[in-house]
Amino acid sequence: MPRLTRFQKIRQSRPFLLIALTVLVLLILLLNNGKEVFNGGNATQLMNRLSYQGLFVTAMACLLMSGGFDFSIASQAALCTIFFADFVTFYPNVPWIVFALVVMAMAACMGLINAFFSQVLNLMPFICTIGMSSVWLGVANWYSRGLAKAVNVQSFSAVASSRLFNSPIPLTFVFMILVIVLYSLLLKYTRFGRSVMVAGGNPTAARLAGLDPRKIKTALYVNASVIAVIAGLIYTAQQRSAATGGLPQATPEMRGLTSSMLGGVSFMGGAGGLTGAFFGIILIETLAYSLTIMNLPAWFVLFVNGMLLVVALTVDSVATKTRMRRLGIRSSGAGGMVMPGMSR
Amino acid sequence: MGDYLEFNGIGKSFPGVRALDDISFRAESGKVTALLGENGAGKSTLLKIMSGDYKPNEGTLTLDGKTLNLHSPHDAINAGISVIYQERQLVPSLSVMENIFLGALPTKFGIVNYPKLKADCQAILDKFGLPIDPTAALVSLSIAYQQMVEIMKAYRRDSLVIAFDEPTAPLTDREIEILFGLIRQLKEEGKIVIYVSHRLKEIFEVTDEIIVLKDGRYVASMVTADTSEPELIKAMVGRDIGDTYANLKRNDTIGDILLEVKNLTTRYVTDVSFKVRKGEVLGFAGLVGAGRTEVMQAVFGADDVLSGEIIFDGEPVKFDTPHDAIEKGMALCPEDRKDQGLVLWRSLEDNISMPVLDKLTIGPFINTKKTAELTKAAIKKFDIKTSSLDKRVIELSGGNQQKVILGRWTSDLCETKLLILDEPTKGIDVGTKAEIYQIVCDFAKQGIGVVFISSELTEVINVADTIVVMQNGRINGEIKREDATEENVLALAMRD
Repeated sequence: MPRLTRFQKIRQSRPFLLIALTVLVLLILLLNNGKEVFNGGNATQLMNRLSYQGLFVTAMACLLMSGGFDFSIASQAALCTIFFADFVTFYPNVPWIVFALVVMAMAACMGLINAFFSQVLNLMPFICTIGMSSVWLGVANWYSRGLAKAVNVQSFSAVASSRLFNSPIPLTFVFMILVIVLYSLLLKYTRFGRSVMVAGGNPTAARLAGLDPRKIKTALYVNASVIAVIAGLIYTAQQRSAATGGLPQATPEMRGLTSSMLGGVSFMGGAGGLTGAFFGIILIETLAYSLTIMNLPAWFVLFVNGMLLVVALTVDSVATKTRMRRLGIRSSGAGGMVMPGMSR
Repeated sequence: MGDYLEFNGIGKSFPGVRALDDISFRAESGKVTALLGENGAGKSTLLKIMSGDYKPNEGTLTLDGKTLNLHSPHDAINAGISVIYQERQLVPSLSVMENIFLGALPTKFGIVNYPKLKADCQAILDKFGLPIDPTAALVSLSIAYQQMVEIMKAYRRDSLVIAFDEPTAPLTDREIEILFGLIRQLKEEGKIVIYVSHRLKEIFEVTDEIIVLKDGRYVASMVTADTSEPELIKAMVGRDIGDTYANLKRNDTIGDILLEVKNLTTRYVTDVSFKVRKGEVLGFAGLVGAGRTEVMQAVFGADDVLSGEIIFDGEPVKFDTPHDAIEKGMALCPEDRKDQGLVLWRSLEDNISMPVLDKLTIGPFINTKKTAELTKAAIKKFDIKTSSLDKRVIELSGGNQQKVILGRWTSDLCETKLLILDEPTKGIDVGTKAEIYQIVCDFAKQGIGVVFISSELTEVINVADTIVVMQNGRINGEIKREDATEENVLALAMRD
C-alpha cells in the first residue's frame, strides 16, 4: 500500500471531515442570515452551550474508549446541581466552591455505583445506566418537587459571565478547551491513558498482560460522573438556577454519544480519540445554533440530532465492514458493530 | 461422469495483496477433495468465494457446467453450496430440529408443524446413525455434536457441495472418527465434499484428491493414495522440512527447579503436580479439554486455586491476579491469540508495551522514544513482518501476531523467568512454526523455564524435554523426550 503523505493523512482524518462539515453549515448560515452570525451575543451563546456540552463529550468519550458506558451522567449532574443550589442558598456564608467539591464527591459515588453494576455484577452498562438515569431523575424530582431552584450567588454566576479579556469568548469555554487538551494529552502520553485504550480494546488480553481493566473502567466511571457535575455547575451558573427539566432537556448524554461516534470513538472501546469527538460536538452545536437562527422549530433540531446519530453509526459500521473486508477478515456480530454494553 | 464443481481461472485481489491468482481445478462428486496449503495460501479466500462472501475479480465458478453468480451466502445456499466454518452458524437457544430446519420449518396453516418437524429431523439423524435427540437444545450438545447438527443442516438443504473449514480443530480423536464416518457417508451419497485442513494425517485418512495451493497459486493436484507426507509438505512449502526438529539448537544445560506445583486443584483440574526447571521446555500434551490450559491459568493467577501449593523461584506463591504473577516473572501467551492475547485494533507498539508500561514512564508520562525502541527491538529480534510500528495488529498474519505476543514478554524490560506458551503454533504456517520452535529453544538457553502446551503430538514430543500428559483434568504421566513416541503419548492421553 502506498504510504500516505502527512497532508493526505490529515485530509482523510475524521476531524478534518467534521471541520469541513461545520464550515459548510456556517457558510449556508452566512448566505441565509449573514447579519445575525456576526452578532456577538449569538456567538457567545453558542460558546456558552459548548462549554458544558464539550465537558459532557469528554466524560462520555473517555468512558467509551475504556469500553464502559454511562447514560445517566446528565441525570446525575441534574440531581447534584439541585443539591448544590440548596446548599448555597441555606449556607450563604460558606464559599460556594466548598459545596461544588461536595457535590463532585457525591457524583463520584454515583459513578462508583454504576461501576459496581457493570464491573462487579457484570450487568450490561447500556441498560442498567438507562435505569439509573431514571432513578436519579426521580430522586431529583422528588427532592425539588419539580421546581427550579434559584442560585443567587454573585461570585458563582460570575463564573459564567466572565469573558476572556473583553472578547465575546466566555472563560468557561476556555476552561472546556483546556480540559479537552489536558485529557487528550493524558490519553496519549500517560501510562494510564495507554492502558485505557488497551483495556477498552480487549479486556481479557489486558488482564493477562498484567493490567487491571476493572480498576481502569471504574476510574473512568467516576471520572465521567465528576466531569459531568462540573459541566452541570457551569450550566447552573449560566442559568442562575437548577432544575430537573433544565440540563437533561439539553440531552447532553445523547450529544456526547453522537459526537463520540462522529469522532470515531467506537462502542467496542479502544478506538478513536478526543479530537474527533470534540469536533463532533462543535458540528452538532453549530448545526443546532444555525437551525435556531434560521428560525426552524425545536422539533426539527431534535430530528436533525437524531438523524446525525443514526448516520454516524451507519457510516461507522460501513467503514468498519469495508476495512475488515479489505483485510480479508470475516466480520463477527451484526455488521461489524457490537451492541452497546457488550464489551464490559 | 457425475456432478462436478469447477474453478476456472479464479483470481481475487485485496488492496496490496494478491490473494488468489488463476486458480483452476475440478472437484467431483463422490470424492473428498482436500485444499491444502500454508496459512495465507488462499484456502479461506477460496472457501469464501464458494460461500458467496467474496466475489472473485476474475474467473468463474461452475457447477455441472453452469456458471454460478454468487452475490451473497444466500445465493450460494440456493445454488447448493454449504460451507461449514469453524464458528457455528447455529442458534444456541433453539432445539436441534429447529436448527436443522432453520429457514424451512414445515408449517400447517402458517403454524409450525412440530410433530412433522420432529419426524423429519429424526429421519435425517437416523440415516446417519447419530444419537442426538431432535428436541434437545443445541447448547446442551458437545461441540462435536453441534458440528454434526451443522452438517445435517447442510444435508437437509440438499446441498450438492459441502465444504469443511478445518472441521477437526475443536474435536477429540474419537469425535474426529465420527465426523469422518459422516464425511464418508456424504461421499457415498454422491456429494461433492471439499475439505480444508492443516493436519496431514487427516488428509490421508479421509480425502481422495488433494489440491495444493501456495501463495494464492495452484501448485499441484494429487491423488491421495499415490502421494506421501514428505511429498505433500515439499509441495506446500517448496522445501523439505523433515529435518526441522533435528536441526533445532536445543539447550542442554538444565538448571534448578523453577516452578513446583503440588496437588493443585481448581474447578477444572484435580490433584495436579509437576516441576519445571530453569532452561527446561516442559511439554503439556493431551486431547482438547484435558485441562492443560486450565492448570496454567490457575498457576498464572487467572483462575482460582481451590487447594494445593505453588512454589515459584524458591518461595511459595499465591497469585490473585495475573498482575501478581507477572511481577514475579511469569509470562503467558494465551491459547486464543485474538480473543485473549492481542488488542487487535491497536498498534504493534501498544500491544508490545502492554506489560511493561510502568517501566516506560517518566513520571506519569510515557517515554515515547523508549517505547518505539522497545518495539523496534522486538520486530528485529523475531523478524516480525510489518511496515511500521503503529500498524494495527489485526493487519498482521497469524505467525506475526504470535511473534508480537512473544515480543511482549521477552524485551529487556521484562524479567521473564517462566514463559507459558499455550498452543503457540495454532493456525500458523509450517515455515513460521519452525522459527517458533527455535525461539522456544533459545528461551530455554537463556535459562528461562518454558511450559509448552500443544495439541499437535509431533510438535510437543519433538520440542519439549519432558512431556506431561493430561486427561480429564488429571495428569496421567510424564515421558522424557528420548522415550516419547506419538503412540505412547497418545495412549497415555486416552487411557480408560
